Amino acid sequence: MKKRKIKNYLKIVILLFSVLLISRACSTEEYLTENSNIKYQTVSSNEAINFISSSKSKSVFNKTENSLNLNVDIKSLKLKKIKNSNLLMPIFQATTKNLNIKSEVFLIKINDTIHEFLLNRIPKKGSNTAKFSGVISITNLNGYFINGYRIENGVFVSQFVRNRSLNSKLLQKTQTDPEIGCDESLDPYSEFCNQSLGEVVITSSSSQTNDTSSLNIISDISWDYSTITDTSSGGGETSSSDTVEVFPCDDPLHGCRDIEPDVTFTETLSQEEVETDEYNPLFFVNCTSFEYYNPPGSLLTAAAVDNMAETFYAMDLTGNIIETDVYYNRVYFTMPSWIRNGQAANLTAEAVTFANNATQVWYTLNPSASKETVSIIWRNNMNSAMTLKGGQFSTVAPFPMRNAGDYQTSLLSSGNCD
Amino acid sequence: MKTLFILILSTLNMTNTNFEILLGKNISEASFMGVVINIGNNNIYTISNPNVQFQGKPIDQIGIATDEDKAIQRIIIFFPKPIDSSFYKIISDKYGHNYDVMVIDDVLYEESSSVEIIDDSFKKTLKQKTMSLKKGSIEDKNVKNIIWNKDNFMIMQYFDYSKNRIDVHFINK
Repeated sequence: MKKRKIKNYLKIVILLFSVLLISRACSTEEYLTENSNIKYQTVSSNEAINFISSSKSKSVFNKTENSLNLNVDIKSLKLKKIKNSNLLMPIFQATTKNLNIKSEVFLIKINDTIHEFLLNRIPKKGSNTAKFSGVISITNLNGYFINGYRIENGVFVSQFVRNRSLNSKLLQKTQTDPEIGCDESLDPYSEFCNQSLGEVVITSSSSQTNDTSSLNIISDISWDYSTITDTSSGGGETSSSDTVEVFPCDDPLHGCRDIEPDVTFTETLSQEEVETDEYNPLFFVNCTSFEYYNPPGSLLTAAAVDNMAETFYAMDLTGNIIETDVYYNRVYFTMPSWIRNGQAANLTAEAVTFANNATQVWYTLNPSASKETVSIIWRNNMNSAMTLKGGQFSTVAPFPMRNAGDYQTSLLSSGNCD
Repeated sequence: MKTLFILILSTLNMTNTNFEILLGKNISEASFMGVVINIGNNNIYTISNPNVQFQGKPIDQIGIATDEDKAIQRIIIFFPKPIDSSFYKIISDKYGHNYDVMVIDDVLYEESSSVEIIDDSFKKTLKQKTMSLKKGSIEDKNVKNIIWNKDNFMIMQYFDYSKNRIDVHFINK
């Protein structure tokens, strides 16, 4: 009788212990899931193979077949564990016509929808460092750029960012769509696709998002899901970082749309500040050069500028000074119509100042450049600087324009045209 | 860590940022001065409104040129307003009074201006002129630059009369 009682007690204790263990296991799982705030879902191997074999993916491959020659090895499927999470990431080996670029297809699932990406490793020419040096880019299967980083000996040093305005709906529409036939953009340096990429040195201030947790990639091409060094930072990290976010702008489909909105070339000052500030940063190019005009119904506002002229200098190896004068009789600057004309003039003055200085720096390194090359570099820099501001530079009028401003430089004040 | 060290030094001594210590370093080392932007996918970087000064003078932009390995070869400082031509004295106080004042000697080559009509409305005119320099004195009329030749680097104060400004270059040797 006593023996049976002890047996029953023992059974109850074992039962309670089992319940405790199960409940603890469940709560740990819940804790992991809830606490890490993971927005991605695991893609099973069956789902991955079905997805890659699906008609949707096949249509992508067919589209790129003749140019990118993307070939995914379905048998190579590996489910890689993402550190600090319960997620498994399906990864397929892939080949393209770019034999020097190592590509892999990886899948992520958000809100029950699977998205596919290419991770491309482009080694630096002649590099024989122990750790990877070169560029990694993340593109869609058409090779359309989403995100990219430069790595020097295992350290992420800069991020590639598409140059366009966050706020310009018009520009987003026209530039979000991949260029037709543009399949060669796995390498951010490829100029074939005219991707207008800028390269931003990674610093703690180049944050892109306030997310405290994210899907990260480590320079040895492993993955984790965690908070990276500085919780206030996103794509950019400290210059010694070996971990960066895969999708720093929280937009896996399009990537970062612009350099930080607060990255301005110069501050815009009020008229009062312009008059009293001894060191007006808008010194070199005056905003009154840019008389913006927005015709009714147009999505653009534009300024025609006459007599645009700059002189750039360089010193050759023998110590001689070379000066190159570039003069354009009339050029055009455009901005989205939602920007006030005065604001557009201020932004354009900043952009042109920036382009002038960038051209000057380039010329000092290239003193043997012909005058034609200097002219091309200046125009390219104006185009890039305007793109950063959400606008464009052109030698062709966007619409008929009667009036033009005269290019004003070397004034003590650029004024404030807004 | 190096960047942090430089940042601390610069913060403590804002008016005397030692740009020469950045020469030969990776471009990432320059990020303590502000947001470093490359706009042309080449080896040219710019920092606008940097949070450093040069000898007490505010800077409008800093241009940085690197080699293919992203090592800094040249730093150009653009000031936001014309600075006095006597600014060389301030540089001399820091980098020594052993400098060469270079003045225009002769125009060696001047390519005739070419006018191209791209279409009915756009025309461009380009001119290129090569000038030899000779040693002169600061009192001369056509002073083009002043050079401080140091062991591992060179400083050039350039008089850009076309823009009525002075640029300061730090050049890696």
